Amino acid sequence: MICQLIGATKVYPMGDLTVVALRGIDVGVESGEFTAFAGPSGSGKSTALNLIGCLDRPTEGRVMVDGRDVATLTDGALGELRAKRIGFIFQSFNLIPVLTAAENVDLALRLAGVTENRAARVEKSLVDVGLKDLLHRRPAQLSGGQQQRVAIARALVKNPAIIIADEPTANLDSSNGEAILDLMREMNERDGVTFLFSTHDPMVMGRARRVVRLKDGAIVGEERRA
Amino acid sequence: MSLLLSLAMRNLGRNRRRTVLTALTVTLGTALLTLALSMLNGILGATLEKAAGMAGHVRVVDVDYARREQLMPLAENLPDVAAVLAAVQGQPHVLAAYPHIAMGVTGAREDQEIGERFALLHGAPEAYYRDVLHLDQFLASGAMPTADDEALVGRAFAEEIEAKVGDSLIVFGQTQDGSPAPARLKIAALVDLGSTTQNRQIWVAMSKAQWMADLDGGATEVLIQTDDFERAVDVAAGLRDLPALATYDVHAWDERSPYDQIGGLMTAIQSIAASIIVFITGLGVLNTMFMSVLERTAEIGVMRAFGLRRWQTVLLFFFEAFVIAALGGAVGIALGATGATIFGRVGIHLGEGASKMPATIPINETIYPHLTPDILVTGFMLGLAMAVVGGFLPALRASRIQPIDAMRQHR
Repeated sequence: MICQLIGATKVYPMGDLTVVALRGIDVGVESGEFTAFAGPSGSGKSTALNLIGCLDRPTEGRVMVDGRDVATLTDGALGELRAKRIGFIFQSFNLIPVLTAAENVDLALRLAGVTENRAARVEKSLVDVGLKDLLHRRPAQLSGGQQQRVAIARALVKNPAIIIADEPTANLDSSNGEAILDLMREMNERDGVTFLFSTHDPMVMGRARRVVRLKDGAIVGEERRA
Repeated sequence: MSLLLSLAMRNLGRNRRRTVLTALTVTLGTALLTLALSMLNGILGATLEKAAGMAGHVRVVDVDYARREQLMPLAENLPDVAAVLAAVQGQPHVLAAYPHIAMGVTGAREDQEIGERFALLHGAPEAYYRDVLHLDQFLASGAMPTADDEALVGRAFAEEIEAKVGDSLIVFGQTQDGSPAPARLKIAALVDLGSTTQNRQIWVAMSKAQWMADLDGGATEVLIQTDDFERAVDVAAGLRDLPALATYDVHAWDERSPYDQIGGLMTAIQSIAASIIVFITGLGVLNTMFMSVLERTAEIGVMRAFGLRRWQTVLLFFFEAFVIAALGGAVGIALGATGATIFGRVGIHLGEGASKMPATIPINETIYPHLTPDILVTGFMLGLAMAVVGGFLPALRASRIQPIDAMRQHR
């Protein structure tokens, strides 16, 4: 099991009120999965992703990543775990605007402390996502679909244990969205890259091999497909 | 580290208008600082050198005279000036030594009644007036005296008694035992030292003052000029060891009131001026850097998610502020130095308020900024301090951004 939520509860204070985003859920992800957390807005799918991605800590329960209890890790160790073992793809791409596509991908390697063979790895990642000719373009010179491909290359380049994608197609038109999903699926099937993503789009859910359905912070169903 | 530097440099170019605005803030602050420090240096440096020269870099007086010098007690004098002069001549760092007598007098034009017109009368060798006080450079009219009965008269006093060059002047002083001591003097020249207080003085030949005070061969003090007025304390310490001076009071100018307070005062004034400018400029930098941090919250969060450490985040923003400060500071130094150089030539008129200062703190009405390498270095370093002041809090704020913030902001 690459990562696991055990009885994870997350409560956010909102002024005098509290919002319960997750209610003691148990879920795990195995290596090589292509899994979607699905549900409407406010269902807790993004909160669950944040916990698994070590971006947040649970109010109660435990988060295990790579066999380590996240609660026992310092902020520094958590940062290192994120940098080396987890790749992120954001809904809004979130590339660094002053860096070229290649530099954005290289940034992930540098922050992970990789010093060897970086240029070749960066190029391979960008070629793998179909951006062979756009290595030196800045984000503003790329389309949304191309930017999300750079983001996938940036997540892939450090060979993480898992790539977490928060609604990766939400800001793309349907054809670009499908192309991005095809690409992710291809990498999963060809290279065994583990993907965990959130979505409320039925088309995206249809591409997942495992769908975990959430509602009001609880798991309400799960489907597995071949 | 190179990654952070490279990112910082690129980030400076992403909002050029704001970067230029921030750099201009530092430029303005540094230029102002350089000019202000040069002006203070000009005012205080000139004032101190002038004061030190007037007071004597090192002074030898009778111990009782030193104790009661506000009263200028002629009775507490140095009866054998020649012995004192012989002892100090040739000592290390001593350039010259001059006997001096100071006494309060009333005076009037010969054809007027003696009234309530007071002046400070000095008696000293002509070389003291020329080489130390440089009175020959401050003559408003007339020429340096050539005879013992001729005097230099301050312009303010001359105007009070409506006297001009060539007029006869009657002055009343006292001998050392308190008897009246009148003297008739011919006005050889009027002196304008730039301040009303300083211009209410009269300078006569040493022999005339000795005659008036009944101090034949004596003086109230011996004023010693050294090769560096800022190191007079060391010279004074050496002179105190001389047997011929053992019974006298021998002190450097800045060991004596009111000059002993001036060094600290100078530093305090310069520090206050510098602090105010650094603080205000720092606020300008703070404002734009905060804007930058707020705009880039998501981006910082993403980099934090990818492993950027908190201290690296601080460094990233610190580098940006540092580069802005270095560029703005360099331009500011150049501008400030140019301004200080120009004003150093043409001078800045302070107005008549400056001339109301007491004679012991002589400030000219026109001051000349004095730029030194120290000021350039200080100005540049304080320019960088502006970056520290203005960049630190935003950098700290940036370092506290959590990756989760990026996820939330861009969902």
